[in-house]
Amino acid sequence: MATKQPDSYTSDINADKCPVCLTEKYLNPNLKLLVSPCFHKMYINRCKHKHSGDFTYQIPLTKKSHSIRSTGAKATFEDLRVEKEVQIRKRISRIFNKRLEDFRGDPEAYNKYLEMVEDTTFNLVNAVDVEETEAYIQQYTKDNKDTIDSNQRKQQSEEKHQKTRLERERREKLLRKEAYLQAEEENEKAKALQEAEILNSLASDTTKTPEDIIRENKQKQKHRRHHAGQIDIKLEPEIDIMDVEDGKSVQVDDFDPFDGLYFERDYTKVEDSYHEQFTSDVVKDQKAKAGGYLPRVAYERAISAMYFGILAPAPA
Amino acid sequence: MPDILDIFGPPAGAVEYIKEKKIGEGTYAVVYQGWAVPIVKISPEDKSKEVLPDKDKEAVAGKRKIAIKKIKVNRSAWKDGMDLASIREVKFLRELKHPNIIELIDVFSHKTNLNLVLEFLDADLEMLIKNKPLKFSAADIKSWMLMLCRGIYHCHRHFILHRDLKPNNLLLASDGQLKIADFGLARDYGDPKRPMTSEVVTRWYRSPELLMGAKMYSGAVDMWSVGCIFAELLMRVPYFAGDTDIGQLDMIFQALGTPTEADWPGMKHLPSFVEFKRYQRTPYSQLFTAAGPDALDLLDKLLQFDPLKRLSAADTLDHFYFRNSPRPTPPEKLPRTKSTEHHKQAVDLPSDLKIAGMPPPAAGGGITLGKRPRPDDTTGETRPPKLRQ
Repeated sequence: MATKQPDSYTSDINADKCPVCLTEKYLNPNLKLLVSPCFHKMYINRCKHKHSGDFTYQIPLTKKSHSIRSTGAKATFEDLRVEKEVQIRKRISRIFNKRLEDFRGDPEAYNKYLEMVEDTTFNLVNAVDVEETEAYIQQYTKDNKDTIDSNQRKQQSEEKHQKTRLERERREKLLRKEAYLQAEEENEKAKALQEAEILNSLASDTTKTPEDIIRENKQKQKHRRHHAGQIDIKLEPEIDIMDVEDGKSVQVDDFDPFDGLYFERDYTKVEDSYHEQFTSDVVKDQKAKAGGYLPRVAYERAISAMYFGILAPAPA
Repeated sequence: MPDILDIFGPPAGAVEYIKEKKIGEGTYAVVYQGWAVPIVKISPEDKSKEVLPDKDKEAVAGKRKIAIKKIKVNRSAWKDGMDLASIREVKFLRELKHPNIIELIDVFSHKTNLNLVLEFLDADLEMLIKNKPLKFSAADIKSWMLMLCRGIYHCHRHFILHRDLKPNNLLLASDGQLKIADFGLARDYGDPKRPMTSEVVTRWYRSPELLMGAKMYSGAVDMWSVGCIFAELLMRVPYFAGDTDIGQLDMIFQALGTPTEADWPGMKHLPSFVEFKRYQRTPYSQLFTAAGPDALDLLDKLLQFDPLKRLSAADTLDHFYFRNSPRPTPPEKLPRTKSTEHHKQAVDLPSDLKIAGMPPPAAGGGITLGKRPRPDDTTGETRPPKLRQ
């Protein structure tokens, strides 16, 4: 018989009591099963310790101390090894979120990158060189801040897009179902009506044989069935704020942001600097520069003032 | 000697202004709603008849709803001369004619008072932003931004700084056009020998260089406010709502990260520069979840610390945000507040937000009659002055 190794992740025999007040799960069903930062199960009397300062407790097997506050959320998975890996992967995917297009479509470079990400994840999950790995992640986050941010944004907008699309499809389905049911109901009604009609004409119409009447009606029915089978409802995709978010928004033609109000001033050109005394104080002034004032403003004003009104219509 | 009007009657194009009711009062001005009614020329024989009986005035064609802003000049304040804000308002609004700038129709004096006749506008952007059930689409926001930037570009092109841009001062006409109002803090700029005051712009919309006491600045101060308004349209709450000047800077740095010398060269030389705690920047995407990459790129370029790196009004209009889809909503289809009874003039800012000595913004909203003269490339008056009774 093989000796069973005590597994620190799955069976914490002593864990079914709160590490702070030692209340037992058996006596107090209010205890919440939480996961400690080092991924051990821990029952904690949350309501009791929520406001009572920052207690620390020790995980019996690893002898690590944690504060109550840092104790995380409820576990999703029974097996805490899975829980741990899922959480680590979640975190890693937020940081290492480069896409193929970030490598200019070079699959080899992208593959290498994915390999590196997988190594990093493996190290964290299996506790190999944790400190070095953490340091590397820190460094990576710092170096790639912009890419990480923009890719996160992209991902969010894609998710939103996906969500709106699914929502639209769901609504389409509902509408289609409604339309189908309605058509069915109408069909029933029409059928009943027709039967009454047949009976009626059988009783009153003497010009046709009963066979003729029945054949005629059957043809009518076929025709109607054919129509009812075509229910296809498509909702127009809503145009909303999302549509500009894919980063590939379409350029609108024939749009003049200036509303066509102004002449192009092509009769004059302002230089960045001139040899003159007027602005000599400002040129050297660091304060003016930091305030956003450049001598160029004075030149622009002087030169435009010269031409202002030259093309204005004469007063009536 | 008989009056010249008694002999010849009113000249062609003369307009009569009628005050209807008082709709708002501030420290320096009272605002009335009224009508501008063209006077029909009458022959001398008909002179015994009354020109326009009151009950007929409603029926006169071509009349226009107006707001009359009466500047108070009481005896005790006379020693300081007239209120500077009103003088500025007249000075600049006489020059600026643009669909997105409030129209100053006329100025006249009556007894000792100065009266400004402005187009009537009864809603502002702040009311819309605060009306949470009203949903703004990306196209709506783009439309407002476009109108705002067009108006600002017109000011800057003519070397005029508004210096008090905020949603409260952006009035909305009944046809949806956005109009920049309240030129009480405006001034012309460009003269290198004349420093300007840094005590301008309502705090929440004040740029970092003004908060640090810069005396020489440019159109970039208005563009910062435009950036703040853009953010506010996206979030529906003011982006930087500081309660003191230092608190304002602190708040800006918390959101955008504390600038370094590389971000903003010369920052340390500004008069009220103080070293701040180093904050990390919060990515825009976390705050503005509903905004597209175009919008975020524009926002980022408008909220640059270095005024020289900030987009100018012309560059903003040229930004791909405006050219890309969705197209800006046509003004007449923009969301609006339901109650037209609610008058702009009656709205007042909380006192802590108000800059001392500011009269309430001028009236806004209104009817446009006839064709508005197109502003051409001149700061000069493009409309022949109207004769008045």
